[in-house]
Amino acid sequence: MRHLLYIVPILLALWFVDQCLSRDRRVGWERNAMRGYEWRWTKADGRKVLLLGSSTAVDWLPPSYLAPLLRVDRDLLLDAHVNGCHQDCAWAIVRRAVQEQRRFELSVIGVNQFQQCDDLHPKRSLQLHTLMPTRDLPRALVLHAKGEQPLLAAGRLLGNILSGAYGDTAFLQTQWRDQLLGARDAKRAHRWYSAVAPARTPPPFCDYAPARVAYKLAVTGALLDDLGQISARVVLVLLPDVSLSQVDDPARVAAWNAHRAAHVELAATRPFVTLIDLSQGGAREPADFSDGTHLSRRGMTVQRQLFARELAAAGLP
Amino acid sequence: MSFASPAFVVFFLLFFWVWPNLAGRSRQRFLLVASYLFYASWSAPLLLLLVGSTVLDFSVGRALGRSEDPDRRRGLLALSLIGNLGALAFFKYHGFFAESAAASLQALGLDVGASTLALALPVGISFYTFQTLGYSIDVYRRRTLPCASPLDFALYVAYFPQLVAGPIERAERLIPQLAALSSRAAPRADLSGFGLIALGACKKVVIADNLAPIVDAVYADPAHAWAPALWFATYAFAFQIYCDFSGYCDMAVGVARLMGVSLTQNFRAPYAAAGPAELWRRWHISLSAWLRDYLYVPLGGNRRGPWRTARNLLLTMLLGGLWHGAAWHFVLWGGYHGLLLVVFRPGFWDRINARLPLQPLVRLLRWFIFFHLVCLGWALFRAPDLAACGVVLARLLDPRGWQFGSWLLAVEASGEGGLLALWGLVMATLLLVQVAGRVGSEEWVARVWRAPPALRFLFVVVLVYACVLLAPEAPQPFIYFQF
Repeated sequence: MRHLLYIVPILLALWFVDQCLSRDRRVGWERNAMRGYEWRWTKADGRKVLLLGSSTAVDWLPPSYLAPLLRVDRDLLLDAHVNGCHQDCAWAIVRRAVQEQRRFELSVIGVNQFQQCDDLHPKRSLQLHTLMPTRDLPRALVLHAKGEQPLLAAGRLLGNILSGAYGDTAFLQTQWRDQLLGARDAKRAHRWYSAVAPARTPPPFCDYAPARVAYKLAVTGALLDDLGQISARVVLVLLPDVSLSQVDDPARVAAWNAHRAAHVELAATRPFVTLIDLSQGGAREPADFSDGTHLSRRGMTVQRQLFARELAAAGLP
Repeated sequence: MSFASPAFVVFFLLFFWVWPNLAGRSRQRFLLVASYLFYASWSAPLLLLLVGSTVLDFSVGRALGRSEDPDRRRGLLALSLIGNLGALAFFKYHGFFAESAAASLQALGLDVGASTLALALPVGISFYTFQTLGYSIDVYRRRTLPCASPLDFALYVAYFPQLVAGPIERAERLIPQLAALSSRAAPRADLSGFGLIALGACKKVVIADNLAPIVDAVYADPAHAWAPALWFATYAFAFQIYCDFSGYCDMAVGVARLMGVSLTQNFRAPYAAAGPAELWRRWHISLSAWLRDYLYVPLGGNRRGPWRTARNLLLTMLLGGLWHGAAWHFVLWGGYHGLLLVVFRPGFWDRINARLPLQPLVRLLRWFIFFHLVCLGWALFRAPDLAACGVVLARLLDPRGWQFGSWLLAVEASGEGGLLALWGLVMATLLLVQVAGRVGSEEWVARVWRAPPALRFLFVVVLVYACVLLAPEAPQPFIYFQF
C-alpha cells in the first residue's frame, strides 16, 4: 500500500499537464464551438424560440432567416446550435434547460440523416460529457446500451472524464504538427509519394441499418420527451443527405423508408411534435451539397423554399 | 472489441473489478462467460463455431484417451483434422479456392463464373483452430493427457486474452494454468502485466496506427509511387506490422499475467535476426513452433537429405503463408521465406563466414542484407494482390527508377519532409533498440519492474498518457485479426 503513494505525485504532474493542454482557450475548436453556445445560452433568458442541432441544421436556417418566417423578433430566438451537435448533444442541452426550468413557445430541431450512422466519433463523447448535467450521464449510458457498441461509448465517456485532453486529441495533434512540422497542405501532400493526386474520399454514406440507428432513435425519443417539458410546440425537421439521391439498392431504400417511418412514428406519438420532412422533396441532388452533408447555395435555396411551404402547411406560426 | 479501444478499457475494468472477489470454479465460470462475451462483441452467431470446435476437440480428446485401438485413434484424429480444417477451409478459403479455380479454367478458355458465398470470416479462427488441433494431435501422440474437465478445456479454447490473435498456446502449458485458477493455491496476479499492457498499447496506438496512413497512401497505387517512397513505406510497414502484432501480444500477455497466467512470448526483437532461421525464432514464435512441430517434423524435417529438407521447408512455409490469408500474395510471401530458409541453411554459409576477416563487420553486413530481404518479403505481404507484387518488386529493385535526387525535391514540394524525417528517426530508434538489446518487450518490462515503484508507475502512466495524446483519430483494426 505504501508503494501506491508513489503514484500520487506522478498523477498530479500528469493532471497538471492535462489541465494545461485542455484548458487553454486556443486549443480545441470543438471545445470553443461549445463555448460559443455557452455564451449565447448564458446571455439569453426569456427567449421564445429555441433552435437546436448541428451546422447542417442551422447553416441554411440561421436565426436571421427563421425569425421573420416565424414572425418573431430576432432577439426572441435562442440559437443553441453547436457544430457537429447530433441528437445526443442536443438532448444534453435540453436536459440542462429542463434543470434550469427554461420555457419556450417553440423549439426547432433539425436531424440530418447521416447523423444516424455516426454516434461513435470521439467528439460526440466530448460534447455529451461537456454539455450533459453530470447527474444525467448514467441515463445517457443506459441509452447507449441500445446502440451498436455500448462499451465503446462508455469507454470514450470515461476517457473524457479522466482527461480533459482526451476529447481534443485530434486537434492537439494537428496543432503540434503545425507547430513542429509545418501546416499540412492537402493539395500537395501527396507529392512525396506520387505525382498523381489520390482520388477524393467519397462523402459519408449511411445505410440506415436498424442496429446502427437504434441508439439515435432512442435518444431522439428522449430528446422529444424532454423538449415537451420545456417547449409548448416542437418542430422536428428531417434533413436529407446526398446519398439518398444515389441509392438504388432496394434493401437500402427499404432501410431508409423504415427509418423515416420511425421518425414519423416518434412525432405521431407526441402531439406537441410537428414533423417537417425535407428529405423527400428538398435538396437531394449532388449539386445541392458542398460535401455530402452540408448544403451548397443552391441546396439552401431549395431547402428554404420547401421548409417555408411545409411550415405554413403545418399552421406555423 | 479491440484491446486498444476504449471499449476494452471498460471491459477490463469491469472484469478485474469482479475477478479478485471470486474463487474456485465460479472464477473459471466467470472467465469463460467473459471470454464468450468478448468474442460475441464481434459476432454472436460465430460464437457457435467456437463452441463447436470446443465440443469436437474435447470429445475427440476424451475418446482418444479411452481408446487403445490404432485404427480408431487414427479415425478420431482424422475427425478432428477434418472438423477443424474443414471449418477453416469453408470460412476462410472457399472463396479463394473457387476464384482461383475459375481463373485457371478461364486461362484454359473455359469461362465459368466463380460462385462464392458472402461469409464473414470468424475472428481468430486461424488461431483457435490451430490451438485445438494441436491439442488433438498431442493427445493422439500421447504427449499430453486428455483434458478431464470440459470447463478447463472450454477456457483453453476461449481464453480471451489470446483468443483472437494468439499466442497459439500448447495444451500442456496452458490447461494446467487455467485449471489452477480454481484451486486454493491459485497463482497471484503479476502486476508487471500493467507494464506490458501499457507498452503494447503504445506500440499499437502510437506507432503502428500512425504509420498506417503513410503505408496505405503509398501502397494504394504502387505503380505511380516514387521508388524511394515505396522503400520508405516498406520500412514503415515492417515496423507497423511488428508494432501492431507484437503490441497486441504484449497486451495479451499482460492481461493474462494479471490473472496469474503466463503466456508464451511471441516476439523477441525479430529485426535483430541475421538469418531466416533466427528470424523465425524471434517472429511469431508460437506459430513458427506450431508449424515446426505439427508440419515440418512430421513431413520428415531435416532427416532425409538436403532435397527432402528443402521440400519440407518450402511446403511448411507455403502453408504458413496461406495460413495468413486467403490470397496468392500471402502464399508467395510464405514461399519466399521458405526459399530464404533453404538458401541460408546453417552450415555452408557459416563455414564461408567463419573464414572471412573482420568478423564484426561481416556480422553487421549479414544483418543489414537480411533485414532488407525481410523488408522485401513485407512488400509482398503488403501488396494488395499478386499482380501488384510484381509492380512493387520491380520498382523497389530497379536502381534506374530510384531517382533519389528528384524524390528529395518532391518531398520538399510536398511539405511532408518533417513528418517523414520524424518517422524515419522513430523507425531507426526502434531498429537500434532491437539490434542492441536483442530482447523482447517482456525483458524490457522486467528491467523496469526491477526499478523502484515510482519509476514503474511513471513508466505505465506516461505510456498510457502517450496513447491518449498521440492516438490517431481513426483507430486501425489489428492487422492479424483478419487472419
